[in-house]
Amino acid sequence: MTSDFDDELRAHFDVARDADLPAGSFDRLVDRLDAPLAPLRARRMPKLLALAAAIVLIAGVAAVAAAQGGGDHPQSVHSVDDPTSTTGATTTSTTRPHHTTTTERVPGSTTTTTPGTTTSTTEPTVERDGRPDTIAAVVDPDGDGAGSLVVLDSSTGKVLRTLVADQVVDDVDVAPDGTIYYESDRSVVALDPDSGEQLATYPHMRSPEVSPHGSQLASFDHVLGTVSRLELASRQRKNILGDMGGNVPGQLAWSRDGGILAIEDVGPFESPDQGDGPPSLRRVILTDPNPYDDQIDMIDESFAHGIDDAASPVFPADGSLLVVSDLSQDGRHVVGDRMDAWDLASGQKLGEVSVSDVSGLDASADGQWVIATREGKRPHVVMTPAAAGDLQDLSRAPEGIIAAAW
Amino acid sequence: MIADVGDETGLDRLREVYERHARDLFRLGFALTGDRDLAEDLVHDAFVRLHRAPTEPSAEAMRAYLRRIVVNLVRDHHRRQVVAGRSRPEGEDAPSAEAVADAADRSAAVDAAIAALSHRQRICIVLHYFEGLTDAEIADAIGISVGSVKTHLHRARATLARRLEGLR
Repeated sequence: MTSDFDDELRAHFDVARDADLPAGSFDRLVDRLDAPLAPLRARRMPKLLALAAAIVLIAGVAAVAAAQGGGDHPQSVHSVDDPTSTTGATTTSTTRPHHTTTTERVPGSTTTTTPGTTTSTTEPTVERDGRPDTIAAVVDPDGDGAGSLVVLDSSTGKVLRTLVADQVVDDVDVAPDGTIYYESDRSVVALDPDSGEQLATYPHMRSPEVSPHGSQLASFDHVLGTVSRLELASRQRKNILGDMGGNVPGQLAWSRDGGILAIEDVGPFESPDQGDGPPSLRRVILTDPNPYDDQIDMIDESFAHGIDDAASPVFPADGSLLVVSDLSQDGRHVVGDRMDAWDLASGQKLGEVSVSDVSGLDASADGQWVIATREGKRPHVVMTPAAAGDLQDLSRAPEGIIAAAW
Repeated sequence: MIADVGDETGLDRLREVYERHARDLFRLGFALTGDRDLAEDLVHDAFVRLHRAPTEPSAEAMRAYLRRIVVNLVRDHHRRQVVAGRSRPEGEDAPSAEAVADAADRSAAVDAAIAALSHRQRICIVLHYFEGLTDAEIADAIGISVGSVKTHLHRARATLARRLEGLR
């Protein structure tokens, strides 16, 4: 290394130093501010055309069903304004019949206010079974980004059906009514688990996490850099965490009562590296997503409670916070060799479980069971009782599972 | 929110900040990605974030704030490209060696060698040699320690020197 070499590297960027913004750049920015999704829409026109075709098809099916008198639970089809856009873009969705409903007032019940109207709604919610029969999983056996969304038998891991094949699928969550929300190509897609029908598409959202009662969808807005929650019934969307300074939220987790959202704060460099540094720092930030106000209620308790260098938050049944700790880098992912349980009230660590190469967690609806993805040469799924007990390998699960939820 | 573009005053304020910083951000984005269209998109994304930010950074902090957003947007874009299989996963240096060897001229060889660095090393190189930032400023821009910046720069320079040695 010589100073000549340094000079050469400096001079190498002269082309960039001479580059100039294309004409009309500011006007295009103003267009973006008026319509933040416009460029993405332009790039995704084929998908939007397909979505439009699906909308027409769904509407036709609904019309036929209505003409035939429907059933006990006819599908409702509606098109609503995209709450993130001011240009009249629409998100079309179908409301699936819930498996069971309750009118008991729960945290999912909301009072929503829109200009000119005040509407009080009590959302029907669904309580999930403790340990469902199936698991939704993202499989990427080659690690090349082209993955599949499959449904697994939760006892054996056997693939029961493939819902999405050969697409960019990154993350998945399952709502109490069974609807699957998965991340694909910078959007979150709602999917009927039985028919594979796309129910709704939410643009520029990532890391979907449905609240325990199924009323809210938390996600990361990758354009605005915020964590937001979407009330699924009203389609109202509010930010609950502002720009994280360029950091990227990773996994999200709701507490059992829906009052706390834990957010994995992925440091500036999650992308794979050459092993020439420590793994990205991940913290668990806790927010209080009060559904009744518009305030951004961020409570950064990561330092106060010492929950640092931790990933994959999940809330077991006892209300503690379970995180993966002892992190290291394994290929594309940060993995941990330990699961720590924290008491949020006292800030005390309750205990730990040694488990190697864990990358992601999801708790069952009753919080009694936890599933985890494990990295390594053969990424797979394991399941463990949340309190104590041995890990169970799902021996018939396919290779390359990178995310799982139930 | 920096300005409400719905009124003329807000629009003028936004234009003022844009005219002051956008060109430099565009050049940084271009240096990091080599893609002019993507660089402009990154600049716009950065200003969308600025526009939506609850508080406006001070004039002194504005440049560093916007730079950090652009750097992290590049990081996010890179991650998505890797996940989508549209970019070479880092750590695989075979393509770079061939690209360097096949490069028609020295500048193309340097391009190829820089492109073959790890994402983190590449950003450190760009911020150091293009932006002229100090190690501490780089550390602040990308959120790692000064020691890590030194390590990345040292390794990046050594890697570049090794890969370009035969062409000197």
